[in-house]
Amino acid sequence: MRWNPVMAEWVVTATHRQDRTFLPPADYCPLCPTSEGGFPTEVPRSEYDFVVFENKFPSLMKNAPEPSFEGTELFPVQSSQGICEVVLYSSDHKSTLTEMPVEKLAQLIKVWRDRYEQLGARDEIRYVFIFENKGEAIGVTIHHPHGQIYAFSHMPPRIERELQSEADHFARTHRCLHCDIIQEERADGRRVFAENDGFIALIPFYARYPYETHVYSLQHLPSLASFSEEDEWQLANLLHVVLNKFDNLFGFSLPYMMVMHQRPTDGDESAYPGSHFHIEFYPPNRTAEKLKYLAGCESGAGTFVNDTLPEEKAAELRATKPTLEDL
Amino acid sequence: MHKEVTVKEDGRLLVYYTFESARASRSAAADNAHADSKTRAEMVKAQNQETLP
Repeated sequence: MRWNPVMAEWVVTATHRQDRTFLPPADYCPLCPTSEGGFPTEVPRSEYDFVVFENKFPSLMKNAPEPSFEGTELFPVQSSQGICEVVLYSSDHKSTLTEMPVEKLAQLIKVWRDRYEQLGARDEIRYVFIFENKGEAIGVTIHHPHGQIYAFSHMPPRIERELQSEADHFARTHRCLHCDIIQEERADGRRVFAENDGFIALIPFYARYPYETHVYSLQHLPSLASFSEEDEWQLANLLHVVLNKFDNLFGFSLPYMMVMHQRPTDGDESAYPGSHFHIEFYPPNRTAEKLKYLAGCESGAGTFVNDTLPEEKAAELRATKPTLEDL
Repeated sequence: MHKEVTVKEDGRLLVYYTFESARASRSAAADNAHADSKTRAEMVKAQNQETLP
C-alpha cells in the first residue's frame, strides 16, 4: 500500500489483479461447480448451497509480501495485509439474489455472519467489509452470482469518516446517530419505501445516487453478530422486497453496489457505541437508459451532484411492486 | 447450518455451507428424479414388452 499524504489515506496497489478473469463465457465460468468430465473450477464439487473461498487475485493478502518500493518519510509504504474472500450464492450460474426465496436469503445472512465473526476474530483484522458488485455497468468481471468480503487490517477512509461522525454525535447527544436518522426518516416518511417489524428501507435525505437505498435495523444492532434468528428472517424478508422492487423498476435486473456497514472488529461495543448495522445500495441508473457517472465534480472535488429528489425516487420505489403484503 | 472447512491445492481456504432445508429439498428432488427415471424405465420396458413378437 502507498500512503497518499494529500488525502491522508492508503492506496492499495495490486498489479497481479490485471490478469484476473474477465467476462468468461458461461460455459467456462470459474465459479460454477465442477461437472463430471468438465474443466476444474474454483469449486471441486458438483453442487453447493453456498461456498466461500479466498480470492485467487486478492487485493489484500494474509501473508502480504514486503512492498516492492522503499518508502520515504513523505511517501510511506506498507504491505497490503488482509484477507479477500469470494462468497458464492448459488451453484446456478444464471440466478441473482433477487430471484432467491426469502429462506435462501436468510441462509446467506447466516453465512455473512459467520464470515464476519471468523475474520473479525483475527488480531490483525480491524474491519470486515462485505459487499457485492452486480452488473457490467458496475464493472463486474464474472456474472455468476457472488459477493465479496475484504477483511482490512487498516480502517478504510470512508468507514473512518463514518465512525468519526458516529463518535461526534454520540459525544454530543449520548445517542446513536443512525437511530436518530431512522427516527427522523420515519417521522417524515417521504423517503421510506418499505418497512417490516425489524428493518426499514429508505432513500436517505442526503442520497448521492438517485436510487441509493439504505436498509437499517430498527433496533440498535451494531453488527450481524448481534442478530437473532428473527432479525435474520426480517432482514431477508425486506431484502427480498427491495431487490424485487429494483428489478421491477425498469423491467430489467438493476445493477448495483451493495455494501455493509457495521461495527469494526478491533474493539467491543464500548469502543464503538455509535455503530449501527446497515446495508447501502448504490444503483448507478438514474433512468432506464442513463447512468450516473462519477465525473469531474464527484471524483475531483468529492461533491456528489444528485440530479433527482430522494422524495420523488422513494415514491417511485414505493409504487413499484412488490410490497410486503404481496409476498 | 453445516460448515465444512477445506483447503485448496494452492493453500487457499474453501468453505462449504450447507443448510438442512436445502439438503432435504435436494435429496427430495434427487429421489423424485430417481423415481421418475425408474418410472420411465419401467414404461419403456413395458412398452418394449408390449411390442415384443
